[in-house]
Amino acid sequence: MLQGVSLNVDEGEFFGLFGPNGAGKTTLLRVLTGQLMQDTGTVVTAGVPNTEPIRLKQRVGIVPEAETPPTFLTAQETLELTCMIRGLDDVQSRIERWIRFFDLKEKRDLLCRDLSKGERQKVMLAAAFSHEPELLLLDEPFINLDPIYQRRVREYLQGVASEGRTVFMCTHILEIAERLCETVAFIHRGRVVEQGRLAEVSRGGGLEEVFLRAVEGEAVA
Amino acid sequence: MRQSLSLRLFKAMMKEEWRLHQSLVGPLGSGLFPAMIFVFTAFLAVVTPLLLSRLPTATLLLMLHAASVAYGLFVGNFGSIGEQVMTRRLGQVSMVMQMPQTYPVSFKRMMAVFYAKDAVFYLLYSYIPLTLGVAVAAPMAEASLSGVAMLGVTTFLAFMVGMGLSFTLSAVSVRSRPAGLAMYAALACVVAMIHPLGIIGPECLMPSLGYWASKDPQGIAAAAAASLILASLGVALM
Repeated sequence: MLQGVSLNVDEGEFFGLFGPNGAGKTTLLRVLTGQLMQDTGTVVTAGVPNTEPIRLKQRVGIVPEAETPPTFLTAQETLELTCMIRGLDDVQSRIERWIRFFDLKEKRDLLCRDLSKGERQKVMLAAAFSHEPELLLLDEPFINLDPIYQRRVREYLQGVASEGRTVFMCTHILEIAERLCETVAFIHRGRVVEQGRLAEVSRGGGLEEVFLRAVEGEAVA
Repeated sequence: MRQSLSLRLFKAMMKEEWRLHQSLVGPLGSGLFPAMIFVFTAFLAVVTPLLLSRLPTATLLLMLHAASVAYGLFVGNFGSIGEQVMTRRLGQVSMVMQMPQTYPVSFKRMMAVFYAKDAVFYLLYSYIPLTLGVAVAAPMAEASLSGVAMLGVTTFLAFMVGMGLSFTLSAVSVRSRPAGLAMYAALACVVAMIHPLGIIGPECLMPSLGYWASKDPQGIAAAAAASLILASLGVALM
């Protein structure tokens, strides 16, 4: 249950949302993408109200935490279908780019059920990145990726933000988040308990300290 | 030429359905299923004269159509109950049907394509083998080929009504559990009114069965309309 959440993320920002398990991060992402509707207030994502989920999803790339690509399609078929859904041109060249990026050439014709968890995550990321959206909404994007691809994705996301596009990311991997996020928010029991620019919020400390302070109150501070 | 999105989704869902069947019962079992239906129905057709000496034709037709409605209800409901079966058997499963959660395509379009896929898949997977099975045994069963073809059409339409009913029930239940329960109760009432109360005829639930009473094509038109209306209602309510 989310209560009184008010967040404003500017264009071109790399934004990190953090909180303990069950704090409401995934629920918030589902509200932002129009999968769930808030009881009160308004939600505008990439300039589109969440009451228009199809138009909204056209403009953003989403990687949900618990979702995998269709089990009985191959990686190639999945990427083709997602490009078709988005009405993209140059489908094959886009797919080639992401197949190369994630080194999936040998695996592209395997059913997603036969891919490892990390490879499925690569397919989900490739599907979210393929249309170069103005906003990426990523829930644990580094999950199941080995350090090589964590680094590759991290560098890609830094490039996205430097191009003026926006990244909204939830993660528990605070070391990566520290290197990427300019602005952060902490959510606990459905409420935003701390938010601002990383440098101001962390007060010279690390994200872990801020996380513990935000979640456990002043006990750790 | 670029294919329409619905056609691409349809093809993806057909592949997915076939591969899902292969995963559940193995490639051999999956491939042999239509052959089994063919052999089984050919055998049944051969012994039809014997069956008809014990059972009136109307009862046999009623059983075939009722089984088809039940099959349609089962196929349409597989999305909800089947998920648990699949998860138990195959682990976490993600289907094309779930893509609207993440990608810009509507659930309504997905549902409409899913319905069309199920109709075509089960026509090929069950009803064409069934009709062919009866057709090869038609001379021994003392049945005309046109009659066999009509049996294929009317039982398939009964299947479509069952599937449409199931889609509508699922869509209503998703929107409102009490409304869904009320619809299930209404369906149970209709069944009770057919049997044992005998207030209405079975054609109310299986309009295509009506064709066999008077060879009136209105029964077929009514069944086609009923399945389309139910499917459209299911899609609209998603």
